[in-house]
Amino acid sequence: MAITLNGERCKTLRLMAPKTGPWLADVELEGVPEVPSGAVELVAGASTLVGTVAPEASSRYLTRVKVRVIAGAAGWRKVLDRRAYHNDVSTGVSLKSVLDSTAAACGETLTGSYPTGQLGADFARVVGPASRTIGRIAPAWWVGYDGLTRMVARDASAPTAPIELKDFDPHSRVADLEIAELEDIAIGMVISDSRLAASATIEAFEAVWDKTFRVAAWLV
Amino acid sequence: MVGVTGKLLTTLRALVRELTAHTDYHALIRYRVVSVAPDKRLRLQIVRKATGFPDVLPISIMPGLPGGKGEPPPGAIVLVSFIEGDPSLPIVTHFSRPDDPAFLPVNASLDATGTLRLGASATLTELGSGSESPPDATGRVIRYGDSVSVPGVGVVIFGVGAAPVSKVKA
Repeated sequence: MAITLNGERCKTLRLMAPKTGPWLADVELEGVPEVPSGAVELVAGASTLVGTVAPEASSRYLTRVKVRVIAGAAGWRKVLDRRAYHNDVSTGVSLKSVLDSTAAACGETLTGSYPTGQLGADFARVVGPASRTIGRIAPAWWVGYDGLTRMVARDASAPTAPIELKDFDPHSRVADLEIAELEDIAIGMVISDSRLAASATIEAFEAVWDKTFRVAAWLV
Repeated sequence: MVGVTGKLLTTLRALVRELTAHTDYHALIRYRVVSVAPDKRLRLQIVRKATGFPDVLPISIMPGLPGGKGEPPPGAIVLVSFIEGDPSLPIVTHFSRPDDPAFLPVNASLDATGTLRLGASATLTELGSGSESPPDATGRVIRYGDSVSVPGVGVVIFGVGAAPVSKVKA
């Protein structure tokens, strides 16, 4: 399987996918190409990951080019200015208006349904990373491989391809898995194996590619 | 080594900051009263911008005294807090200190559905323009049943008949 970043072949890939927030991928490029910047596409087999280069963690050293890609526009880490929302109508400040304006201010794109609930007549956004605002209003938010931000929790899913359980540490509840494609694993996927005491759900994972994908998955 | 320590400290600081971010709203923030809206909510301006809180919030007062309310003058400093640390629930909870020129409200009221009792054990209860120090109760309060002689009108007895003004019993 070839892994490419904007068409440049990668020697290594390490993908960290948390339950909430954006995913993050570290790659080392083959050859000595220019260090990419801005929006990029990371292709790993059948999966395409849309993200943005984090310049502070991407550079060339001699013949080695390492790049860090953050999901979407890498905008949720941007520090936004203060903002006061106010609406005297009985419905109060709408979640949608706060989320839409915050996403627009940090350059991210929202998709899917909005969380339920209601804010009061006011909402005070303090100076700070945009992720704090979405984390407060939509605690289950996450960014997909397509670079779009979702505001509600992921659905539970079942494996659609073989996942080989190599090891499991009951203390840390971290499983060592082997998969063929990145698409074979997802947060919320329920893992069942006769060697496990009970079925468990993947809460977060780190996938490292070295001819195959080895995954350290935190199970709950 | 210094660089490593510095990087570690920076990372640790960022981690702690992130882990404690939810406490941002558990604070009392100073605001200055700009004006009072017709619905009696206060239009406010942040005193110290470095706090990161928004400049203006038209928000309600939640008095610390049941039955008491007041309208602080423009320029008065008030404290804003967020109920349960929720950014959607800001309220004004405190007002200027007594030594602040803007301490006295434009108007104030204290009320009760039953009895409003003042100075039950006080050696002196002053109403009107008396001063605290030195004690001086030179002000005048019309009590229920007091009679006042009004030139050209005659004697008016408050609390009865055409002058049901005073409810003060003393």
